[in-house]
Amino acid sequence: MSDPTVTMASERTPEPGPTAGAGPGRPSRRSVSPARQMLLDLVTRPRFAVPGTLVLLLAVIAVFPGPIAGFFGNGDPLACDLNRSGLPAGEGHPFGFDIQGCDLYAQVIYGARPSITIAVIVTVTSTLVAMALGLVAGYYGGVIDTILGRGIDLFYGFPFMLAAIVILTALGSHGIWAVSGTMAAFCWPTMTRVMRASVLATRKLDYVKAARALGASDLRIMVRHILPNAFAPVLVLASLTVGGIIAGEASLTYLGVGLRAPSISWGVQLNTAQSYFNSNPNLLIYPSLFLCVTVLSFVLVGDAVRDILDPKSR
Amino acid sequence: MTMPASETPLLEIQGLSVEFRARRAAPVQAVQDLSLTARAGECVVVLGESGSGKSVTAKAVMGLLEGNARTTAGSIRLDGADLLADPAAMRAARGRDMAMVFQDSLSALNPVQRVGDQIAEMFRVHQGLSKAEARTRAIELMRQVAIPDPERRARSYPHQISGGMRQRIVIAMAIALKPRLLIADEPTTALDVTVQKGILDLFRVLTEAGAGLVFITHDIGVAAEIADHIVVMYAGSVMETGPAREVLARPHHPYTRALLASVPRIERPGARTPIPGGLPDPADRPAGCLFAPRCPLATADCTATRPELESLEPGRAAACLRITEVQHVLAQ
Amino acid sequence: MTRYILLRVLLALSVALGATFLIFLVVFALPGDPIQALTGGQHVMSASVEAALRERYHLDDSLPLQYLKYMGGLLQGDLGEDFTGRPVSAIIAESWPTTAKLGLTAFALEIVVGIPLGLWAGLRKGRPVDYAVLGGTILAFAVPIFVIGYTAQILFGINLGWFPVAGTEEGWPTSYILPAVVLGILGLATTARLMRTSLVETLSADFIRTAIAKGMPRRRVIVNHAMRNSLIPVVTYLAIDLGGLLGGAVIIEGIFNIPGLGFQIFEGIKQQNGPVVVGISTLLVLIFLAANLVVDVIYGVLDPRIRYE
Repeated sequence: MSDPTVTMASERTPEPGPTAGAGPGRPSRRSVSPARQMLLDLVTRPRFAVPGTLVLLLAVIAVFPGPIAGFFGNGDPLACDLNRSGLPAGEGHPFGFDIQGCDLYAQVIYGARPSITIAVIVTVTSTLVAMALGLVAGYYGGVIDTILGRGIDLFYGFPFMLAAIVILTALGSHGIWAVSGTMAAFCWPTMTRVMRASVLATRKLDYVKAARALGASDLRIMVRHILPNAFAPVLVLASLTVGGIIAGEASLTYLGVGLRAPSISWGVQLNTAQSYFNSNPNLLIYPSLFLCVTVLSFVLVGDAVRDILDPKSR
Repeated sequence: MTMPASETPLLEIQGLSVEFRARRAAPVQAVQDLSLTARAGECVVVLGESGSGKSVTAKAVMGLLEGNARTTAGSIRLDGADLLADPAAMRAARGRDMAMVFQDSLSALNPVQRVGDQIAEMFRVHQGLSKAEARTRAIELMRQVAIPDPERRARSYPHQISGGMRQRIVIAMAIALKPRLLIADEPTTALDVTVQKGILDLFRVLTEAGAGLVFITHDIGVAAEIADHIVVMYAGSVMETGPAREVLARPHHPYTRALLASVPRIERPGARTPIPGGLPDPADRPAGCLFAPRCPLATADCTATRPELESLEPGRAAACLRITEVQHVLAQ
Repeated sequence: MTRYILLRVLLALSVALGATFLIFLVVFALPGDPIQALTGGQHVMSASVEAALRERYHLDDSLPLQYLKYMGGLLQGDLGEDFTGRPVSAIIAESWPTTAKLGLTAFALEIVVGIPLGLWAGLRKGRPVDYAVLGGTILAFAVPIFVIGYTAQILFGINLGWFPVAGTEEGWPTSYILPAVVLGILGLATTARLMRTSLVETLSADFIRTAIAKGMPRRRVIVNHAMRNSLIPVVTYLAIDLGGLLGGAVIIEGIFNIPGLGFQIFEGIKQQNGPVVVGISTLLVLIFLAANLVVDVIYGVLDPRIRYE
C-alpha cells in the first residue's frame, strides 16, 4: 500500500554524493551567502532541474487548466456526448474519449487540479501543525510533551490506508476537504516527531540559553531563536511527503472512498477505467501516466531538497 | 640519534604526500613530502594543530585512508618492506605487526558486540584459537591493561563502560598480538586528565617492553610527558624534528616557538601568546614557506621559496630559511 | 530485558485501547446517525432491521457504556454480523488463510530479493548497480500500487499469458505469484533501499575502520561487523511490514479478485457493509499493533543500546 509514513521513515541517508574527506574540507566559495549558494546548488542540479520544471508545469496546469485543456480546441471536460463513448483518438481529441464520451485529454488535464490541491492542503496544514506542536512540545517538555507523545503513538497504531478507508467511509463525505483532512490526520504525527527532536537539539544551544538569560519571552525565543534553526528537517520531510500524498489520494479515490464523480480526478478516471481496461486501455494509460509522472516529479524534487538541506549529504 | 646508520628502522616514512579529491574541486594537499622514522622501544610524537595532517599520516600508515584520499608520492616501510607498494604486505601487517589506537573509543568499538568478544576476535582470526581459548586470552589481556574485574567487564557492551575503560579495551585489542609498531591517534584527547595519566603510563609500559610507538597529539603537555622524539607538523608538512627534550626546551623553528608560546603555563601567568591568523587554505597553499603568512620573522624570500628540512645539529632538523637568524635571536 | 518487554507490552496495550476507542468514536459517535454511518445511508431499512442494529451495537446506551460493551464483545471474539446475519468472525476465519498465503509470499520476496539487492548496491556504492537500484526503488515508490497492479495484469496476465489474470482458482503458487510480486514491490524497494543506505552508513562507521585496522579479512569485516549492525533497521522495517502484509492488501486483493481480508473490506466498502469494515479493521489494527510490539522486542534483542536504556 502507498503508506507515506513508511516510505518517509526509511529515507534517512543521502544518495551517493560528493563526500568531503575527514581531513581538509572542500574549498569554500566565500562570495555567495550560504542560503543563496544552497538555492543555486539546487537549481543547477539536473536531478532537481528536470523534475522541478515538471512540478512547475503541473502547478501551472492545476491553476489554469482551461487554456491548456483547450490547446487542441476541445477544452471542456464536461462536454460529453455518449455517442462518442470510448472512441479512439481523433482530430482535436489526442487521447480519444472516455466511456461517458468526454474528451479524455481535457479530463486528464483537469484531473491535475484536485490531486495537487489536496497535496498542497495536506502538506501545508500538517507541516504547520507539526511545527507548532513540535515547537511547544520540544520547548516546554513535561506534561505537554508526554500527552502529545502518547497521542502520536495512537496515530502510529493505525495502518494509514486502512485508517483512511474507515474514516472516509464513516464520514460519508467525498469532497476535497474530507479527503485532505483525513490524510493530514495521518501526516502530522511523523512530522511533529521530527520537529520535536529538532527543537530539542536546538533548545540546548548556548545562544538560546543566552536569550533566556537576557529575559526574552518564551514566545519570542521559540519564534525568533528556535524556529529558524529547527525547521529544516520538517521541510525535508514535507517535500518528501508530497509525492506520497498524491499517490495516496489517487489510491483512496480509486478505491471509491476518496473523491467521486462528478469530481474530475485521476483516481476517479482510473476507478471508472478498471471495468474497461480490456477494451479501452487508453482510459487506464493516460491518467496513470500523468499520475506517475506527477508523483515521480514530486518524489525526485523531495529527494533533491533533502540532499541539499540535509547536512549529512553535503 | 646514536643508532648505527645501517640498521633498518622499524617504521620509515619517506616523502609521503597525500591528497584528497573532491568531485567538483581541485585536489587538496593534506600531507606533503613527509618523512618520519620510528624505532623499537621509542615513542615518536607527531605534534600539530588540528588540520595539520597528523591523523591523515597515521591513517596512511595503516592503509585506512578514506576513499577520496590518495597517497601520491613516497614510501612507508615497515621493517624495510614498502607497504604502499605492496597492498598484500599492508593487509598482512595490519593487526599483527602494526596496530592502531583511535581517539574516540565509543565509536571505534562495535556497538552491538561485547567488548570481550571484540578483543577475542584478534586471537580467533589471527591465531585460529577456539572460542574458549580466545576468551581466556582476552580476559588476560584486559587484566594486563588494568581493567578491574575483567571477567565481568568482558561481557559488557561498549556503551556500558566508562571512556577510560573503553580506551583500555581499544588498547588491549591493539596490543593483542604484540605488534612491533603501535600508532595512537590522539588516544587521550577525549579523556579527562586523571584518566589520561593512566593511559599514558600504559603506553610507556608498552614502549619499555620494546614496541615502537607513533603518538599523535595536539597537546604539548602530553607530548612532553611521553615523547622520546618529536615531529612538529604544520599544514601537512614537517616544520621541525628532534629529540623531545631538546625541541621543547630549545625550539628552532618559529612555528614551534609560537606553538610553545601559545600554551599557558603556571610559572608564567598571563604570558600566553596566541599565534595570529589561521592555517592556510589547503586548496590554496602558499608557494613559499607554509608558515610565512603567520610568521613574525618572515621576509619576502620566505613567501617565495619553500624551505627544505635541514639538519642543524645531530638528530635535529628544521625547515626554515631564516634558521640562522632565529638561532641568533635565541642565543641572545 | 524483561522490564523492557513489559514496558513495551503496556505501551502497546494502551495504544490498542486508544485505537479501538478511536475506531469506535469514528463510527458510533461522530455527529449524525450511526446507523447511517454503518450502512452508508444507501440501504433503505425496515424498522425491524434498524432496531436490530441499534440493539446489536447498544446504541441506546450511554457512550462509555457502548464502548465497554463493544470491547467486551471484541474480547470474546465477537466482531458483529453483516447485514445478512453472517458473523464477521466467520468471514475472517474464511478469508484469513488466503491473505496469509499472499502476504507470506510477498514477504518472502522482500527478503529474498530486497536484502541482497540492497547489499549489492551498498557494496558498489556510486557504481552503475547502485544507481540502477536507486532508480528502480524511486520508480516503485512513485508509481501507485494499483497502476502497477493493472500493468502487471495486462502485461503478464493478458498479453503474455504467464499467470492467471485474477482469482485463486489455480491455487498456490500459480495464482499467487503475480499479486504477491505487485504487493511486495513497495516493501521490496523499501527493504533494498534501507539495506543499501544502512550498509553504506555502517561501512563508513569508525568501528569498521577499527575492524580493518585489526587486520580482519574483508569478508569478516562485512559479514560480522557491517551486516549485523546495518540489518537492525532493515529487520525492524520488515517486521512492521509483515504486520501490514498479513493485515491484507485492500487494493491488491481487490484488483486481483483474491478473497482475503483486504478483499472483504473492499467489498464491504462497495456494498456499504459497515459492520464488516469496522470488524475487520479493528482486527487489523490489533494485528498491526502486535507487529509493532514484535518490532520493539526484536529491536531490543538486536541492539543492546536500546535494551539497557
